[in-house]
Amino acid sequence: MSEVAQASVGSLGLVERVAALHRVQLFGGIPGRVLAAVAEAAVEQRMSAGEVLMEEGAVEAHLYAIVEGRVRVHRGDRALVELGPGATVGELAVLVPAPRAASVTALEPTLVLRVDQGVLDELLVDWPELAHGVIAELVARLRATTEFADQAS
Amino acid sequence: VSDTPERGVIALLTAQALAFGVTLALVVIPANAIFLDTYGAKWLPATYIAIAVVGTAASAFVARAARRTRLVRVATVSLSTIAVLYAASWLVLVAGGEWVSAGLLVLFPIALQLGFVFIGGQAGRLLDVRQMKEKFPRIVAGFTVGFLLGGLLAIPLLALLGSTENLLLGTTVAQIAFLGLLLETERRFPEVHAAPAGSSGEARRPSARVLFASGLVLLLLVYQVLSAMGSWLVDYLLFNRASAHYSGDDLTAFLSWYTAVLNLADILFLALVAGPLMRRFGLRLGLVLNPAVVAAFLAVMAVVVAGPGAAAYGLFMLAAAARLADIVLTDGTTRTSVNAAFQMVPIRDRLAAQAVVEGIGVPVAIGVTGAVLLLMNLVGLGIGAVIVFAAVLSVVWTASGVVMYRSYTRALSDEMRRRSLAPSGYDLAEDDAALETLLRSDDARDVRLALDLLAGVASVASAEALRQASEHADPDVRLRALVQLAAGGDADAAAGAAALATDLARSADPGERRAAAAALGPRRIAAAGQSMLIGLLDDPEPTVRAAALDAVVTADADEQEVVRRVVAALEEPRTAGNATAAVRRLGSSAVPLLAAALARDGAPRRLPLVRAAAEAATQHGLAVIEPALRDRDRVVVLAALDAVAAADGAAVVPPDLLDEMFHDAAAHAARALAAQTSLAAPDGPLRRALEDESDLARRLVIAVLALRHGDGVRDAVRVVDGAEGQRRALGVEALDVLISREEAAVALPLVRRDLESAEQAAALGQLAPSRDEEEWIADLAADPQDVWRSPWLALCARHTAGRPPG
Repeated sequence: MSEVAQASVGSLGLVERVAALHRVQLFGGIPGRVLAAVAEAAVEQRMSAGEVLMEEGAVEAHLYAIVEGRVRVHRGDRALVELGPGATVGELAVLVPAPRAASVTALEPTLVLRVDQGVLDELLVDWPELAHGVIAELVARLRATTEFADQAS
Repeated sequence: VSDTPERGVIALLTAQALAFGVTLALVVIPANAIFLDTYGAKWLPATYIAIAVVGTAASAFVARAARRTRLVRVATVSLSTIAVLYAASWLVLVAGGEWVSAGLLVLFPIALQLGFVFIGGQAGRLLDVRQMKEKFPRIVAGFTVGFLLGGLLAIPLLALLGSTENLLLGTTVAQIAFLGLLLETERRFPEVHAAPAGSSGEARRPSARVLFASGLVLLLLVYQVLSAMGSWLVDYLLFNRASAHYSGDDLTAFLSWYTAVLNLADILFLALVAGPLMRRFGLRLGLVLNPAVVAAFLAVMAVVVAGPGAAAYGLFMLAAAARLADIVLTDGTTRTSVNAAFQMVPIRDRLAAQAVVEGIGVPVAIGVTGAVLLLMNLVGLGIGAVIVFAAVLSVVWTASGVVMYRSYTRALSDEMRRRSLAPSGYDLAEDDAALETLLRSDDARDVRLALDLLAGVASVASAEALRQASEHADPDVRLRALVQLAAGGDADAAAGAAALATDLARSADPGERRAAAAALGPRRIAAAGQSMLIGLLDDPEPTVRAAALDAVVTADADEQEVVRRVVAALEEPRTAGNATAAVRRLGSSAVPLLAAALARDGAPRRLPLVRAAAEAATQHGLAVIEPALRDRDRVVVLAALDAVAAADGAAVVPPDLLDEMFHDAAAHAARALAAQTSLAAPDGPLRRALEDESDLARRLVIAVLALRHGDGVRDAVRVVDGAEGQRRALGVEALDVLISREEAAVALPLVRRDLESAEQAAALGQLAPSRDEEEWIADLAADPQDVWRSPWLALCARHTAGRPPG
């Protein structure tokens, strides 16, 4: 992993990126040495308030890990949920490529790490434990959405 | 696994044992004195027989009661009844009925056994198996101290109360104190109520067949019977020799002196030696030490009898030493080991089993010993014959200890084992009607299910139903039905399947191409099957490639184009699993490409490649997987070890290579834990990285041990990781008995997640150098000795030290 020692992409150092990914529930159980490769492949994206991270209907195959700031998941003007540091958005598209089910917009200056499908695929093969994290994340999201729908109705 | 039981548990159980010891000392002294004074020693063997009869009946009663009600209630009733018997005996003796002393002599061993059943039963509910091994000797020490105290109390009590029979008043008071302490234990620790499961209402009565089904209870019975016989024979030898050398007041003086020395030795052994001995060597020593030592003494005694003769003073001294060793080891190791072994008996049957083993087996053993001694005396056999008989019996007793230990380890492994979800064979013959219904269904999912079930299985499902399915609107269903018909020898169906598969393989729809790939399967339907397969293995859609990989068969091993694509697919995450299975089917033809791929720089990071190589290594030897097993990166080594285990290839890895890996992992764990403990900051990337490294080392240690000792190691670790309390302690115990002492010294502190990292570091301290935080960080950053071998650790260390990555 000699390349690890030299890597420093974007404004965050590699160690900070790994630390940020460790705070994301999905990656919390993955050893740092493995996440280092993910962090290297991840793309850092800084957004200002109101900037759109994901458009509903767009076909993409990556997820975003929120490092700093807050985002709103919404369909049109209808907000579905708000998410902050440690959360991920877009896992469904990575697992099963399909048009985005909702849009995501930054509510404040936000820093995210973009992880592409290929990286997650490799992680899932080598770390089956990650699948439990993905399932837990999806269930939590489903619950939140259901609760939101119940409240709205 | 906590090393410390709940506060007060040990104190209360020890206090019970102490009161119990005082009680029994105050029974045995007046009972012996009055009986021998009135009837002489010649009638003692008769009391042995009575012990067998009454003891068996009493234990059967207790076992029966134990199935119907709670332990504490059974104990309360039993101890109250015995207290009443002591008080009644006093009244009878005061009234001149010396005959009751015989009853007290019979009651003594029965009360002794029952008392330990009750104390052991409470300990079994309040302590886990690890705590039991360490703490039970202290509880037993309470009994010994009590027995010594009772003996010492007897003299002033005699002066105070005026006559021997009045000592029974003290006996009654001590018995009531024992009962009171038991009730206090119940009040403070209600978990002691853990009643036999289903006891309320159901009153399940385990038959002897059920009780002895595991074999362990039967072995416990055999072991305890032999133990009791051995102890009583050694007892007899001592008193036989003592009476040959002393008489009158000299005999009394010797017995007093000997009893004092014996109890003192017992107390010292229990307090200082027994706990550490059991903790270090466990049941493997605890079950055989007592009989082996006794057998050794008896062998020397047999030599003395054959040489200097039975009258030799040396023989007397040896008998005294053998008796002392037997008592000390019975209390210090045997009783503890037997109680720990009982933890393997399901709790609902445990008290009943203990009552049968200790309450019936032991009295019967005493009776048999009495009968054997009477018989030997009748036929005129001398002390030499008794010694030889006892020596042979002790050898058998030792062997039973070895067998019981093996049974105990098997029972532990069984307890740890996880139920397998591997499918068992199923027969579709009786389900033909259901299959036919599915085949005729309008729902394509039903038809697919039926075709899946039929694949590769001979069935009489009607050809008509299959033909109907072969005209289904869904081309996937159509193709599968045609393939199934072709398998039955239908030439038209074979031609139809080949044509349809060729069409579907060219389709723009990935689903249809997937169907074509799936149809290729084990029975090649198209003449150009292999070229179609190669095309599908190159398909841009991963799911189609995966289906094509599933269609690779052993016959494809001759086609290098197929083999090359299969090995390449190992390195693609979405097809790796299917490719691994395909490599397995291709056999030796994939090995050269596999070995070449694995030897490529960086390739061992591809875990599916390592897994496939491990499978190949089971047939083609160590060379295929060796690059991964010797990789500098411990993650790769772990993957290789896991893969070898999954492929049942333990024999592939030579023992010296496993030793090397074990020592490297142990040293790595020790270093990582020591470095982690030295860090001042409670959080941060370096601490997390070191935690990951100690976890990696833990996994490596477990993987090596699993290859050495079998899947039981992983089963035990799974229990240690996932269970709590008693069950987790059983997991640690299972691991302890499966592996060697040297391995346990490293593995147990690492495996136990309940230990703090500082405790783990201390346990492995001798494997790591002593350094402060700054020195550890410098070592991690530069890795001058190439021991860390982790760029990520080095990066974290430099980050912590505030240095730029370099």
